[in-house]
Amino acid sequence: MKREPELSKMTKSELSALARRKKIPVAAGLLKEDMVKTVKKGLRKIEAQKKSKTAPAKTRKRPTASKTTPKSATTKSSKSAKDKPGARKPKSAARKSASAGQKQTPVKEKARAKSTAKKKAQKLPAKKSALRKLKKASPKKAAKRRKPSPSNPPAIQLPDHYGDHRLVALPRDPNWAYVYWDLNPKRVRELLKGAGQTPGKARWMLRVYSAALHPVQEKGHYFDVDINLQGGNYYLNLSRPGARFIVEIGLIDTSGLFWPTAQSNPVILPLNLPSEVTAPEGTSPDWPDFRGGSSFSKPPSSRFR
Amino acid sequence: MAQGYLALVLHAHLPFVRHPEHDNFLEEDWLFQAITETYIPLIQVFEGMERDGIPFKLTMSLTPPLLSMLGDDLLQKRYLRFLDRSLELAEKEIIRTRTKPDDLPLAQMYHRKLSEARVLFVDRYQHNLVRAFRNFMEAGHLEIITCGATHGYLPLMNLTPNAVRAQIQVAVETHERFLGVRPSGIWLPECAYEPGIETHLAEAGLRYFFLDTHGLSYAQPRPQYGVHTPILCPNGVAVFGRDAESSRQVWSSKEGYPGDFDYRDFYRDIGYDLDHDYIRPYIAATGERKMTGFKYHRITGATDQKEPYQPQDARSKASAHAGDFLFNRQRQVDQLASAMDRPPIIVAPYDAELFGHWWYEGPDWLNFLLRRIAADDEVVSLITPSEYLERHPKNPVATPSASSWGHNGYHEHWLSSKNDWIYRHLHKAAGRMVELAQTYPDASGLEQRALNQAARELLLAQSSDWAFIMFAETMVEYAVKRTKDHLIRFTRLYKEIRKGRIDATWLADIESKDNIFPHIDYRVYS
Repeated sequence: MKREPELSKMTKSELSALARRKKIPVAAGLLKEDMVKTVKKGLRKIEAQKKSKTAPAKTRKRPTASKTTPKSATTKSSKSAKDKPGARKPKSAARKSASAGQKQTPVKEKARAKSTAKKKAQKLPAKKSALRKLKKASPKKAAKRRKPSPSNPPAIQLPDHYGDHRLVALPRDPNWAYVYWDLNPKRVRELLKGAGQTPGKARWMLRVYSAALHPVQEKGHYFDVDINLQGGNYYLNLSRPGARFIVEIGLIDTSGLFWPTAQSNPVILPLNLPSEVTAPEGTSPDWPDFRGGSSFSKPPSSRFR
Repeated sequence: MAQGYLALVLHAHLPFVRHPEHDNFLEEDWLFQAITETYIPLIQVFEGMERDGIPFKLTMSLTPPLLSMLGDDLLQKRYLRFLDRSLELAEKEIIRTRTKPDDLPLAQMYHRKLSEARVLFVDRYQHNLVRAFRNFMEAGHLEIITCGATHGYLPLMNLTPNAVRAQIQVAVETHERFLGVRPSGIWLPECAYEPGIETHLAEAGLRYFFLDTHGLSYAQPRPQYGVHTPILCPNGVAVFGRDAESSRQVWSSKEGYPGDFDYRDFYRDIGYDLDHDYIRPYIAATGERKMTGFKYHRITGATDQKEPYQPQDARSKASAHAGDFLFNRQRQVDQLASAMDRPPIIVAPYDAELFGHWWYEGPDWLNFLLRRIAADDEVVSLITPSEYLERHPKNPVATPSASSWGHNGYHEHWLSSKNDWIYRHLHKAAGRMVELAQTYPDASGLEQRALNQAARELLLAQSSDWAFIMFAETMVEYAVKRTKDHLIRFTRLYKEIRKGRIDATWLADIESKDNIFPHIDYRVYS
């Protein structure tokens, strides 16, 4: 009971630090008063455990509490981001009503979400080191755990690259396009060899062609952009709404010659101005009656069985 | 006959969130809250209109993930549990607030509304709200349209046209399964378009879609009347454009109705305000606080000192705002009609979940608006896009501009440094899915099941919601996990199918988890 006034005077970060020191699990995203309660409860538990250790063996409480606490803390941590208030709506209603209701208090919600993320980040190293300890303590067990079985093969992760050797361009808005590349290491080595370049020193470029809309092959004027090959992607400021571009990736040799190795799909930037030409009139084609009737009396399409 | 038309469009969508592997899963609350706060109140508004014999016409998209979740047994049971828990809290609230004259009537109001919701959900529609919407569609009040199969962002998957095609075809077929008819129109996910998408729409028999204002005003060539008539793509599919003025009145932070100080404050919720021990049974199982739907304050202003919510004042304001909205539409039509050679159409699309969930009084506003229009339709009457096209088949022919209804009007919400990493994986998976469909055209048995599941996993990974959440930095961890989980499941299926070694136990497990589109045929990708 002595601690109560002290705890309530502490800031949230002081409470978090105390909880960490005492190994008291505190779920992320709690309000201060909830944190005070949780820490208070934790301290009482620790006191009780201390007392129980001094008591005779028969009356001693099960000594599992301290072992299970890190586990439950981890669980709480991993779930804590699931319910950030005001953030739980993943769709346009969320963003649009948030702006519609600006007179409300979305900032507070954002702050809560941020603090949750921060706390999670703080917990991560501890979790990792605990895992390392576990592996050190029982390597055989860990190996057994990792051993693949037919229904539990080794976990697949998404690769950083697929080695397809391709360059992809996507329009973002009337001024910007996004490109990403995935180059095959063997073909990169061959290119370097052909151009007489060493891997670490080669100068990699994107060559951006301003392509006429027709024909597709015609590339037109171009400009070059230096890139970091390892970056894997780049945002191109093209600033030509409605224009069509094709991008090549390659390297420049010491004589200034460009050695392309992959070409993107054509990308057309969206328009941002009305056309000066007025549209002609046309008539809607004849459509079947979509709101019931003969065209719907047939059974569902064969795609669905 | 009215001088012009108003087409109200409600886009109802939630991403597919269903986790049978957990007894409680917080993200499933998205659906449950939307049912209690939006879908049931909207159904009640429509029922009231029907009961009073007042004609009305609305267009509503019910996306395939939403239809699938509303029709899912597990989620229906879990919703009932959620509703019963809310009712239990309402009873406790009546006791807790008995000495608080400001709060007690609100606690009683919540109890009454939740009880009515239970009767509607259990007794009237036997746990399946799709039935309700279907009834209104069959009665001619609702024109229900579809959306992408999993709300995939089409312009950013167009490198693999078969992937876009699959999003459309699976959506149309799912719509038909749930609603008994093929849809006449589609709400493109995020209103995102680039020229060429209409080809897939025509192939699926879709007659029209919607775009944001600039999708039409920057069309090539320029449509003479902007968004106030639809345009026809060169292949004949019609496009309706969002009217900026009517959108602003509802969405805008400055002029929008939902920010009125008399309306209920969304963020002040007893889930955060009340003692932890008291509220513990009604928040997350981890003890983390969450929204409960019990809110006792009005917006009040830009202050943390919120005043008590007064439902009667808010309802009066909703009525006044409905009157204001109609008055402005009448004035708008009056001006437009004098300059046009045909009746103008004003297309006013909104997210359905704005009504009730975010804007608590939204369903009241809609109710007042529909009734006012029915009583005073000389200048403006309600119409659906299909009806407009039947009455006015002659329209400008133009190719719309690439656009979306996201911030700044293009693709940057879904393609930014926060989420651009997903596209190399999504594109790769889409390419692999086409390869599978073309390599195994006659699969059967286990192989066929694996191919169908691969299609489901790809579709689920493509949901635009995940990229949006990453951009908005809200539930990033969950959005990343969902994207990765589906892509990893897809990749494993791809490898197992290619090697001819399909793990039947694991396949059955993911079939039970990601059970959307039970009748899908992977050949849609071929």
